[in-house]
Amino acid sequence: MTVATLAIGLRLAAGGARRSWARLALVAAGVGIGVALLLTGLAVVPALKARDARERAREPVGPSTEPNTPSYLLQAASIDRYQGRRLVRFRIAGVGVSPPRPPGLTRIPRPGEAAVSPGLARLLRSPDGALLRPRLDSRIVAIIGQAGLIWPNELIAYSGTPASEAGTASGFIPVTSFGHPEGPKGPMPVELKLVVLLAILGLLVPTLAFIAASSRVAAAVRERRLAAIRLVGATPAQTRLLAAIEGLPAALAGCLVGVALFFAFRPIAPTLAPDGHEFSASDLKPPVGQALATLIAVPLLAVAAGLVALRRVELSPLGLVRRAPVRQVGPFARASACARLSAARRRLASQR
Amino acid sequence: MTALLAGRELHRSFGSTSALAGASVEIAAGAVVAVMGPSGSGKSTLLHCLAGILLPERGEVVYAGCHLDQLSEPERSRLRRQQFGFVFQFGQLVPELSALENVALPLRLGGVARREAEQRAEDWLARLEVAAVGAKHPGELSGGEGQRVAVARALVSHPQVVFADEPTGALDSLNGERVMALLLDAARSRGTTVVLVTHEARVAAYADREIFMRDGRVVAPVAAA
Repeated sequence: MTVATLAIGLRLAAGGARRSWARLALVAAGVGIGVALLLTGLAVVPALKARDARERAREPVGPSTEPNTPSYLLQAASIDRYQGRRLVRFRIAGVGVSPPRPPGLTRIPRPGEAAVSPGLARLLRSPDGALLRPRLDSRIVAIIGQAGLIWPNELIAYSGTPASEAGTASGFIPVTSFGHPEGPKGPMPVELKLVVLLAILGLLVPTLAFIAASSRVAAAVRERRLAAIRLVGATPAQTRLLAAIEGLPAALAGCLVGVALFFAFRPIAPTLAPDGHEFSASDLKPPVGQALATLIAVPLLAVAAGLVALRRVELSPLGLVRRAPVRQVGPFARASACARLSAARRRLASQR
Repeated sequence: MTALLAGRELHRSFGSTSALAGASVEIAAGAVVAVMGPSGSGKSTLLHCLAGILLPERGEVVYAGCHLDQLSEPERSRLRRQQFGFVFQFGQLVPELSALENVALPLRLGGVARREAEQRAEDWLARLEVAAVGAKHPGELSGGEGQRVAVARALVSHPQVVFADEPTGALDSLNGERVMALLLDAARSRGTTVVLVTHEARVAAYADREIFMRDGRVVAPVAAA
């Protein structure tokens, strides 16, 4: 009998009537948006970690005084802004026969040469880069590879500088290698983790409410339908099972919609990041375990929301009977009403 | 004659409104009984209590020696599915299911295999002269077709009692008479008891016996026919 009930439930969920499909599409869209938001929320921490790892890979490592190795690099960093965008410029000079190369470079640019990121190269080629070209004042000889970028559209340049000038100018530091295993930043601070957690929770609560609301779409129609089924002899347990099953296909379809929306939104997400905190779209990857848990939990949650909505009413074969008690008017409300009534009476009496 | 279905001293109210105030009725097996009375006299509430859809606040309903008020809700649901059939004014068909699936629904809920349930549903649709609408959904049916499908659904599980609450209330007279004729032909041929609530004398004329209600009480006659 349970198998038959399951089959009826699935049939009801994908019933041939146009209204059923519209309801399924509506619930799937609602659940889909919720799933996409959740997956995005879950992907934020990995994206920040990946960004941090890329940043650490570019961190210069070297002694605070003159290095005792024959080959090293002298590097000075400066941060500039151009048309509201952050532009990082490194002036570098190799010392010795095999100085370390910054990540993403195949060779160290000579004085008067520069290696630029793809984003900066595009900007320099465009009319918007007209004012920037003289400021860079170097011949572009190479494009920095992905290994040297924190995010794909980052504006960054390595300009070659004479070693003699770098050795005497201020701001240059000796570099013997690149990449801190834990970096100067260390692991993500607890405070930041807490902020991220709060942000995810802040995203989660409205998302869960949204999923619950979506799964209750057309609840009145559904309850009338279930009452009709009760009339022909479905037991309360069968009715609850039917209610649970008929919400499931929409929730599963919602999961698919959510995954599709997540991947559609992923390339756009980095553009929404605040300046200086941009990340690569490819870093926006939710951990597999958490993503799977979400895709399992959301349909279950949608089904549970439908069942909880049913719990508030007793499905009678004649329709609905509200089970929740009707709220009584409290003593405060009664006292307030009495006070307003007597005030109105006094006003009327004074007008006469 | 022994009553198949009896309601004794039934009381039921909704809020401060008393719908039944000591109604009693006895219905013999195979009888077709029309319950008549003005609006608000408690006809439908009596039918719902006799069918175990509503429980009376006082009094008892006995069907084939079984006290409905002593059954659990799942037991009453099973009783409705196996022993009772229902035809209401607006059909109460499930809009997501085709006419054929609607008729097969009580059988499917009872665990009958789909093929067999649909075969039996097809037979009943043919008997009710609506075989051609089996694939249509309720929204695509005319009022008369919808009520015939509802009658087929009420009879498909060979119930002992069919409860019909204003079954022709939403139909024109021609369609109404045809639905009544088909319902009662099918019921009488199988010895099915019919409890028919109506306020139309024309519809009540199909019954073997009429009982009248006023102010929540049966005013005449009570005994089983």
